[in-house]
Amino acid sequence: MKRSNGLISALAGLFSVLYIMGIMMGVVLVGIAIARLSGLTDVSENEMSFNVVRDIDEIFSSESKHISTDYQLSYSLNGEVKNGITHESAVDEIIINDTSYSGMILGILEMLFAYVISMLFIKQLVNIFRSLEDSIKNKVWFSMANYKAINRIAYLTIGVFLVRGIFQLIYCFILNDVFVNGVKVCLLPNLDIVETLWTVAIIFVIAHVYKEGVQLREEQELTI
Amino acid sequence: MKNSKRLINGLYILFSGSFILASIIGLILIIGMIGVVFCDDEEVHESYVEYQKTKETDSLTYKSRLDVIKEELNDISAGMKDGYESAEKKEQEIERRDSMAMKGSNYHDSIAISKNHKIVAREAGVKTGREIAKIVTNKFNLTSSKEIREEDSAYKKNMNRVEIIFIYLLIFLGIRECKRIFEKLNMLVRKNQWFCYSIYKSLLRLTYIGIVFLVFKISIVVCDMFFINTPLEITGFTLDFIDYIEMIFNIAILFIIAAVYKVGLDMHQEQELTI
Repeated sequence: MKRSNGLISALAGLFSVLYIMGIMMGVVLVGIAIARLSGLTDVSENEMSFNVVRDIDEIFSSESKHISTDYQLSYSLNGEVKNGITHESAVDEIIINDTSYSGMILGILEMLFAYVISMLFIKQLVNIFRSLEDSIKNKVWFSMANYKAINRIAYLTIGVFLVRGIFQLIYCFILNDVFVNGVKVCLLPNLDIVETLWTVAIIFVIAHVYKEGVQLREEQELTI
Repeated sequence: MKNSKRLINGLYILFSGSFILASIIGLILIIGMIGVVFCDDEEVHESYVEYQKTKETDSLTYKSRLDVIKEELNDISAGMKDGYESAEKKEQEIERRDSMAMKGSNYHDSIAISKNHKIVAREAGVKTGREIAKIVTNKFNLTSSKEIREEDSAYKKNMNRVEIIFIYLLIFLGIRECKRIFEKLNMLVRKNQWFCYSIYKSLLRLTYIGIVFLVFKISIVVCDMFFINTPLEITGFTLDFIDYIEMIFNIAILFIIAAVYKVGLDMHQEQELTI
């Protein structure tokens, strides 16, 4: 345990610094969002990544595959047809850089949601590592507060999954007539987010094992 | 409690499946390597010929791409030549006007006007030169980042093989440890126990695998920087830097989970002794 004492202190310090930096960044983010919404700054690009339902070879076939990694893209948003370029980032994935106003609002909302969730996430980590730092002195490694914090982290990870999933679904719903290299494609939310569910399950298991530790400690205290 | 049991069972099944999949992939990898190194089978030969053909078409398209770039560079150089010629003409024109002005006005004022004109002309020339240089650099960067890959170098070929085998081994070992952890937990949960020394050992091993993975990844980048003399790799390193920090975080957190688990294990053993 002695070996990890230093590590716990370092991580507690690091997460505290991250939390303070995050709060400062939040002020900047809100400022940027207000400036963009009020039209003080230019409409920024909102990058979205999607899976496509289409025979990918049909889109990315021909010699252009070897010559360039950029593909012609067109889509319509609120009845307005837009042209752009997409990059071949993965076998069945396309990226859309949208500069429309409605896309920007969605992007800002997604950014703010993601910010709030990550701040809550870091806050829980700060609480856990501060509590563990105290445990170095008072030798109480299992506490109910930490168990609740680990559980909250699991729920927040579910929150990340839901926010990303919902926003991607909204994008899929509002973007119509998407053509890549002249071939019509159907957009699907990026399936990478499913990975998050694995993490959630593992965090829940860790929380439960920790809870058993708390119960053991309580029993031990009663025995003494 | 019931939910946790189900969750552990589900994760055990998931990791067991991943383990079987990883074993099959490993087997294919080994057979593939043996096939390439020792086998003189016709199929292997045919696939090798096919591979060579695709490589040839790749190199052909690569050559055509290079031709396009060469043409673009020729256009740029022609444009530069035209630009310089017109700049020279302009300078001559300015000098002619200055000399005419010198004839008709105060000598000192004319010298000052002439100097100012020359400074303005030079600045404009420098600006244009910089812009052209920027375009040319961008073109070359594009070429180096997208096309010039040192796939044919012996070092890169061998390094790629070592990288694939080593990373596969580490992932395989990682999945095996995860499978062991959830297998043991699944067994323990049935007896209503949660702490076991072998799980702690597996957690520690998982941490060490993570450390080896991180060190290997960084050493590959450093080796590439030394042996393949491209500044691109340095850019790649800085781009991936956040990933490495994230990995360090994960390893540290895993190490702490193992340490806290050890405390729980000690408490469990003490409780057993007390009873």
